[in-house]
Amino acid sequence: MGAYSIKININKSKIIGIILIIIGAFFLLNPTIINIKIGFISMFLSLFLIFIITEKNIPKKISDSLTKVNIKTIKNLIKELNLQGNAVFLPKSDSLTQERIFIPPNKSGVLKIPEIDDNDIILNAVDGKILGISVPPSGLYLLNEIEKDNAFKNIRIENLEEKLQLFVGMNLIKSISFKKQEKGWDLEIENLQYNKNKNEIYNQYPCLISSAAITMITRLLNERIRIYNTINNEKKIKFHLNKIKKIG
Amino acid sequence: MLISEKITLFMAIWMVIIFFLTINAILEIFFILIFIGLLIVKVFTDRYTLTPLRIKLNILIFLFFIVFILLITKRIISILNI
Repeated sequence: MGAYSIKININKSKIIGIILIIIGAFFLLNPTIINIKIGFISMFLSLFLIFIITEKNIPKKISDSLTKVNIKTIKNLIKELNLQGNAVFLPKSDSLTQERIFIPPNKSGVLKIPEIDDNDIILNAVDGKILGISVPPSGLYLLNEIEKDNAFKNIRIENLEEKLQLFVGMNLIKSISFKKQEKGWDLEIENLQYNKNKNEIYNQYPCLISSAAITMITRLLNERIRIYNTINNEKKIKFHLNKIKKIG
Repeated sequence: MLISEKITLFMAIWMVIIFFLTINAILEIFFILIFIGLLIVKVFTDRYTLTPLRIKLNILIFLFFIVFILLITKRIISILNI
């Protein structure tokens, strides 16, 4: 008891920063115009290296592998129940305290969304027929986490594309665009890595970043948003999204 | 590469270029050109950065702004021979 430890977090950039401060101080102690300039450059760069450069807390490979487990479980569930429909993102409601993804059994035909609450996962009709599944979007917790940042305050649908660029800044994706179309929106995401074979699961249960972005759209509009279809082109994936009106 | 690393890399390259361009020039020009580089970084990276990084960049810009005001004041005083 009573043992205290001071954790000194020194990484490569900070060590280089400290070396640059020493070099800068050396030049500034012999003040000629050239020396002042070199000294200032060293000092200023050290400020960047020590205070500006941020470190990744978890290597991306590890964080990616954590979400892969979740996606694989949902993929197995979809396969097991033979669900063909595309994902519908449901906004918060009286019965839902957080956004959910509803995956219907059929791709075409009338889309019937039953009353869903937080505890529902597999949705059955009275006769035992599967009506679909309801699961939390994979990007929901990421979205909740990043929405704590002030940069995500006061988002409107008009400035959403600008705010989505923060995902690029966080080095989670290469690029992102969000455009209004005649019958909905196009969300295009360029991932750092992409596997073409994942197309079907992208329609039904999008990856972390796509899911966070679509959940954000759902939250902003407070509407049901359906993934109409997806197009993939090497590393890019394009989601055609549209609104679904609630009948009754 | 993280956005903070890109910013640092840009500023390093910018400062080296400015150093060689202003090798025979006075210090004021050197400082002001670096300040301009910092403002360029701020404008182009603002939409990609989260609040903590924005605050850090704003602090640097604020410090440079004080230096800029001092340089301008010094120059005005020298021109007016006060």
